[in-house]
Amino acid sequence: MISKMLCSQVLRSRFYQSAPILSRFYTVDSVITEWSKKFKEAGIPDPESSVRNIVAHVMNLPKLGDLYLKIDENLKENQYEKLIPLFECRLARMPVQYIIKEWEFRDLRLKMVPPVFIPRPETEMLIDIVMNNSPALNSILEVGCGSGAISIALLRSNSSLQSIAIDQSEKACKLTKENADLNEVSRRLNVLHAKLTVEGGFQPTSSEKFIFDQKFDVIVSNPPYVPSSEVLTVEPEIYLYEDLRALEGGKDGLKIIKPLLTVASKLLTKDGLIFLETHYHHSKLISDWINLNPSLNLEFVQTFKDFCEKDRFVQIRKIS
Amino acid sequence: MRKVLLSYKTSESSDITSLMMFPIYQKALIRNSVLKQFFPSCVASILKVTYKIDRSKVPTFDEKDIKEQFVRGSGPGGQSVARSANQVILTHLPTGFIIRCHETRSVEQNRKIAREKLITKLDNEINGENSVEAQQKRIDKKRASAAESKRRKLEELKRQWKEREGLT
Repeated sequence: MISKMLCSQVLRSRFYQSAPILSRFYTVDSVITEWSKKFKEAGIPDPESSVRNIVAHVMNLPKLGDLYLKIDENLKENQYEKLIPLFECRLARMPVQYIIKEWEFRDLRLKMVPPVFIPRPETEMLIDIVMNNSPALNSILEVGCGSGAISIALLRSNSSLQSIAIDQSEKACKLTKENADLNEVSRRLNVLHAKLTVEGGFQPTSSEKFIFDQKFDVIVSNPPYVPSSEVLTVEPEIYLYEDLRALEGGKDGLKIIKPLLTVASKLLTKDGLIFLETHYHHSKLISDWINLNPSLNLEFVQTFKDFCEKDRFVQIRKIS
Repeated sequence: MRKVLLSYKTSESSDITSLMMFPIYQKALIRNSVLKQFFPSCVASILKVTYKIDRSKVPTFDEKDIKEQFVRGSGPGGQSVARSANQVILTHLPTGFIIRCHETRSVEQNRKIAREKLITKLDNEINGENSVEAQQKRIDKKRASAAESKRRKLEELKRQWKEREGLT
């Protein structure tokens, strides 16, 4: 009897003590520490950065760095309630970019929608490379635009530029249009829903028909280049949530790059340039393939390294 | 003149409108409000003292002297890695300064910000009192003390006026 009373007393006191702590007094710092630990134990990659990104999103902070200023603040009850389901998504290995539905690409803010490919940080350098190495830059064609990051960033950095972006996925086309609207470049960007064919042409997937009557100064692309064997080893974030068509480049990783170069040779002006992001051992393979196909009238110019010192980008010129 | 006065009352903050009660301020305020309507930039320059910051001593660094680390680390990189940790760690080898930057979600932006932070740190170390940050601090202090003395003056005037009118 006594033990029962004691027990209930202990329970009650515990309940009264813990109830308000649970619901009201969660500081930003304590949430970050607690959930970083949970993520780490569950084997989630980038545990702390995942938590920080999600908390900053729920607190509606424009910059991730602003979180450091709010570290001692208490989270509001509705904010804490919003956080938990988002953390659970992360435990299911959903990429943070899809959870918070947005990401930054250079100085742009882009909307992210699964399964459209998430722009990788390496690709940010491609913009500077295109801007610094193209003498004539009036019209651009982007093949495989995904969320539209490359086209939009290029349009933002040159106000007289016109661009056409093509993707085989309808969701990607829709997202590119939305992101162009958000970043106020939609007037200069034409998005087409079409698929690159093996022979080197575009096949419209929707009812709208189009013919390219113009030629382009620059063709830019981040084509699928991951060799099939490497696709098998990617993290669950990628194979569960992202569209693998945006990654997989066949046995040697060149399945899309070859028809892309064929198309480029038809659509480029004289001295027009191609800029591609590729796998780090592709530059030699691509230059060899171009030399084997002189009818394309292409010339390999140079390779650029990414910030991890890996050969990541290639520049190719149309000779005549 | 009356029109101007009315529009001034409705558009400006109540703090300034309350000053209209004091005869000594009336003339200046009306003049300012007229000026503000026709030459907004001109009045701003009259009202605000501009301070200049000397940036000639700001140091630069050689890209060869810095080591840059990323959380992405080794591995294939590119499309086969989807990560969210975009922290950049800069080490300035000659001084051993370490800068961490995780301000934005973009590696490119973080690299830029980290370099700016490194320059600020070098500037503070080399130029001390003459660094841009120290200069900015002094200017902020001056501005704050000027605003404070202005506030005190106003309060004193208000007190005197109240005394004259016998409101206390």
